[in-house]
Amino acid sequence: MGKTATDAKPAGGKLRLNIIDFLIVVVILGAIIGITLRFGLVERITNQSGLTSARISFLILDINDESWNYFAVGDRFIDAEHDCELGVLESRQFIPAEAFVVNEYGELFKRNSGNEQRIDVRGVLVGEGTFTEDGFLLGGTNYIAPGSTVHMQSSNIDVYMTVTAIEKVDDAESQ
Amino acid sequence: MSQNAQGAKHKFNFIDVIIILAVIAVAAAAVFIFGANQLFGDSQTVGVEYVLEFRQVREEFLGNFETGVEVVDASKKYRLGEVTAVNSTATIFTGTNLIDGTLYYSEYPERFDVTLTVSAQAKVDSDGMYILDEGYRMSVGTTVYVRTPNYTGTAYCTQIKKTEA
Repeated sequence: MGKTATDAKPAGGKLRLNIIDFLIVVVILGAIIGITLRFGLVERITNQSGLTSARISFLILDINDESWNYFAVGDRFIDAEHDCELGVLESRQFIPAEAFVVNEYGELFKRNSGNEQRIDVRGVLVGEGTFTEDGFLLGGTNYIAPGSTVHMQSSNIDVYMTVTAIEKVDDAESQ
Repeated sequence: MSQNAQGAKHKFNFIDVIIILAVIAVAAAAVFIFGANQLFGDSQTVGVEYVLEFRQVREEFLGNFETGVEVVDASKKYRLGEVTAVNSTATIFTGTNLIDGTLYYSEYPERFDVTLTVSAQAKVDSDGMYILDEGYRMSVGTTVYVRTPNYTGTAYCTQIKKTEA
């Protein structure tokens, strides 16, 4: 007699795992754990939960003097490379760009741009991040410190700046 | 009674062999990439001291270099040791005297060369190279993208030596 549908599976059939299924599960779990550790996802989630306000001082070197029109107090800047909020511009100062010249004897001197067509900009942004033992994490995720070069962008201007100082807003106001 | 009623058996076939071989190959590759030195390397752990030099650092950053802080590689987050000493000297500019063609050495205004002396534990691999934090090779000339809590920048290793057997 031929097979019938009722003969196909025993009643209450159990799912049996064999060694192939076990290996596949192990590989998938290993990949998930590896990705989590590689990209520091646990750390990112933890750090984003406790953000603190910080004053980020910056320096922009040698830009066109027309650019001063595009730095307005209150402008919101982002870190264009990491696509995260950098902060709101609290203050800015425009100074003639520094320049280094060599005289005929080979001696180096520092001067400031004489024709005022190039400027340096010093300013302060108020942003948020986490202060950790390893340094400041902007937005709880991206490390920046004095010396960092950051690609900052607002609706008005796109420029590279160097971080010169970072301090907690509470610490600065208490002085 | 049909064969299925007696309990179907999984027959080991060619596809299963391929899958098992693929998993073994991936596992072996992972061990080779991440753990070959520990498992198969003829390595010993030693104390090392090396010097990192930052060139033409702005004067306003001199106060950001501290002893007792940890140095971290900014690109792959290797822990590279602890700063034990900080020194700075004015950056020297080499200019040419246009009158007589000689070289003239002067200090670069407001720019300093900063050196950090760092102590760390390292493994010495079979080629004699120092390996920090299980994966970072350090030699004289190595470019190090440095992260410390209060400063970040690019430095170069200018000296390295073993400090203890």
